Amino acid sequence: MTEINYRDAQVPIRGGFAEAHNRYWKRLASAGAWFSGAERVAIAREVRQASSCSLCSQRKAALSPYQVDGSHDTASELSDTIIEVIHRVVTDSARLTKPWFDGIIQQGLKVEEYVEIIGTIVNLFSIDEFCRGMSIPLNELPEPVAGEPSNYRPANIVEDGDGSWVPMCPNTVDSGPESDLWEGRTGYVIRALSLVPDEVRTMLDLLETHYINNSQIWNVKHCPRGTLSRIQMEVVATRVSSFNGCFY
Amino acid sequence: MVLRVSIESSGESIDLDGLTDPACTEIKGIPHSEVLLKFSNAFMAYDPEALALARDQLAKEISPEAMVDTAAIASNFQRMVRIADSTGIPVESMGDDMDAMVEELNEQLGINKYVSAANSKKR
Repeated sequence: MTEINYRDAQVPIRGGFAEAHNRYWKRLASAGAWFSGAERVAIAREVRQASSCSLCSQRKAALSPYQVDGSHDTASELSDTIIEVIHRVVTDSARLTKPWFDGIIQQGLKVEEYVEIIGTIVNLFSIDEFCRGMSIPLNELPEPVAGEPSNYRPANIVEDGDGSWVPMCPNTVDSGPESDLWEGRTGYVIRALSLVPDEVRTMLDLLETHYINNSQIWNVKHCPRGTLSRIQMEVVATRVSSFNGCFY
Repeated sequence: MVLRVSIESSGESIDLDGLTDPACTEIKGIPHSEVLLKFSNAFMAYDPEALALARDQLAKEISPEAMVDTAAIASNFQRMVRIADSTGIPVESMGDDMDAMVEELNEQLGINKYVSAANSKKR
């Protein structure tokens, strides 16, 4: 498998980044719950394609993305529905709507598949964005590993997602296979991908590497590495989220 | 929100008004906020030259390690917003007092006007 290392970066990058990113690369290449390794790597390739898609650029510039019809510039053989999900989430997520989501599901995509696609998009994107932020070339995508999706769906699911678009694990999961995901209660943004638990596991792994351990988010004295104060960390988080129009 | 709690916890009085204003270049009272905002702005503008300048400045003013962590935090929050936006999650209640503080902060910073508020502000 392609081994990620950041030894050639202009400044030293602590080893935790390469380790966490390699853990994800291994997962990305392997079959997930609903997609094969080849499909997951194709999703990743399409994530990278989205930023140069001319339809996405036109939609981004339009008053409403729904005013602009056309075909996406693609880099894979994935279905049009999956490509629409990937490109919209990467390039214009703030203007996603419930009717758009409902339309995607009506086109035949299972909500479980949708959640795994979202997990793959966001985890890959955060690693790529780290590289961009550091001016490091993007890591070569891994070679897919043969294997069949597990079709695993947690038994204990809140089907209405407490009003979210997607079903998710309950706020408290004290026992069973998902009891390792979080301790006590947690926020919706952590629960959001729990219909595919491994997406949460990866998300939390990268969260701790890039930002902070999930259990310490509301411990505002916690400053995991001491390079930045917690207030300084939150300045960056808030400014980036503001650019993204993130209400959450 | 975490920022507001962090500041209150620190016992300092810091005006956050400019934090969501791209034209605001510094938050008085937060050390090195100018270069942190400069990096964030360049990162979100997809401007490689400005980003390189901000990285150099960050490494000199704070440390190379802080520069790496700044890039890591920025990339993390490129992810979290997409999770929220694509799953239509609501904002959870944190109790009446905290909810009131959040609402006040959202008004102060103009966050209630974000398009994505229509999906998240529903509980």
